Amino acid sequence: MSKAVEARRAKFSPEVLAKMQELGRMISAEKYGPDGPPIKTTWAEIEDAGHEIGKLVATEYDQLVQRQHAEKYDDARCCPQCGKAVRPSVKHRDLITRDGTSDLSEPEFRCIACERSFFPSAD
Amino acid sequence: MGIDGDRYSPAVIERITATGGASTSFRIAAKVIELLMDLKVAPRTVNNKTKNIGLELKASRDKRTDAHCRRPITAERNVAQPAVALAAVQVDGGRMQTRTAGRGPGVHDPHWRENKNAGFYRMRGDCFDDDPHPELPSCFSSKKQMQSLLSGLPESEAVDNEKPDLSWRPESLVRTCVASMGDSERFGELMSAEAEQRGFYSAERRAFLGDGLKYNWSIQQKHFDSFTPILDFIHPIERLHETAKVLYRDDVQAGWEACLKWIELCWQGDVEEVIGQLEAEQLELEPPSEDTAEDDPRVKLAETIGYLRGNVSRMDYPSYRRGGLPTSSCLIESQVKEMNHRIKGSEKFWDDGDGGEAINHVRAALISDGDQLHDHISSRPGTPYTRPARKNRQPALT
Repeated sequence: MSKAVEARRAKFSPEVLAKMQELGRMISAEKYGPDGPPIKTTWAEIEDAGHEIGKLVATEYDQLVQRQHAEKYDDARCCPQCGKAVRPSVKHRDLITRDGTSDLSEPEFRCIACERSFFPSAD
Repeated sequence: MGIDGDRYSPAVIERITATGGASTSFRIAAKVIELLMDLKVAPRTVNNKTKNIGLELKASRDKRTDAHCRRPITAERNVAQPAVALAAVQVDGGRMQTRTAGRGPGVHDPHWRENKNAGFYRMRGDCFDDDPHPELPSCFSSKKQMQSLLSGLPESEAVDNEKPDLSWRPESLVRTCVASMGDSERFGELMSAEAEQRGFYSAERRAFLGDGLKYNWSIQQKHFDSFTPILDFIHPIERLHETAKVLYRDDVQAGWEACLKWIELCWQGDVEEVIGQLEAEQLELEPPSEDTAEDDPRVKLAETIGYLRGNVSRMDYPSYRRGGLPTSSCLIESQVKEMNHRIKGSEKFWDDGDGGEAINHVRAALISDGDQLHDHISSRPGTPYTRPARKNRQPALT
């Protein structure tokens, strides 16, 4: 195992690493069946599929953590323009990331008096 | 979270900008992005993103420079950690093709503009009691090797395999680059702010190198007066070669021999002797009149003598070698070439204004050591107000 992979693995607990292996096994079984890939499978096919999985996992992770983060904006905030307290809502939008398009759920504070929204996620 | 209203995440913007600044064109950059990131981006988008980030880099540098210029005169100099043993600042001009901005698609009013480049080099090198290399290195005395530098040299002898020992020269460790289309007054301020940020003013040994352009030395005197001013050794060689060519038009070999003698004298720091020999040549000729052609030997002689007289104080090469200072601005020459790979080309016309300035800043950040571009993008403030709507958003139910 290369040092780079070792360093990457060291960032996760043995439980998470075991789950990742399990995920790999599940996807392989679903894609190729219990006997694994046919003999003619090329490395490019394996690498492409692995890369796609990585991107999907990354997108799921990005969205999950972003939503957890957004929940911390539950309380009302003061409008930076007029100072009135404003309750949060959610604005959904697409954000293009390295791993594809994520569905972003940003906390939005819409000030009726100023007729504009502000997004503390910019901070 | 540090996100703004952009459709792209900061990491994607960084990659788009880096590819836009590194590729030969925005069209190629879009292809490379698709290949490497599996992301389809229009060349125009790459152009816009690169320009935006370039202007942000410029604004950030301007802000730092203004603060540096306004600092109290008693403010203590920044000291680098670890301390800089040898700091070298080098400056050189480049050229880029521009067009008048704001006139729609196409090239309007094409014209050349100068972009100024500066390199800041943390260096490592020894000092010596005696001149470590009193004799002219073979790279300067070999016709074969000088042919790439000087035009019209006589046919060279057999291939010269001997490589000169250049281990006495200081070695560059870390480089940062600054490039701008601004005037020399402002460029000097940008350079001074960068040198301060790198802790160059508190370096043990300091050198400032440039060619014969007057504004280089105005910048040196105004902002880098504690740095040893050094005229790039290559520059007088080119001057002397041009002079020898017109003086010895009928005998190329004799011209090269005379030039070589002058180069050796300059290397040994005896510039006054070169001036004396050129003045002796001048005495044998009649003084030039106002309508004498530019390539007339008398005009060339007068120009070269004036050039050497004006720069003699910056040509004490043996002393610089003893002090372990660089004597050639080859580092900044290479840097200008690296800038030109992106900026200069017969088909490239940059907006004379924001577009041209932006690409200078992006390219300089990219070719600098360190993570200037990454640091900027990860620290840029997001905008709290604007957010794009989804293209395929559903209509409201009520």
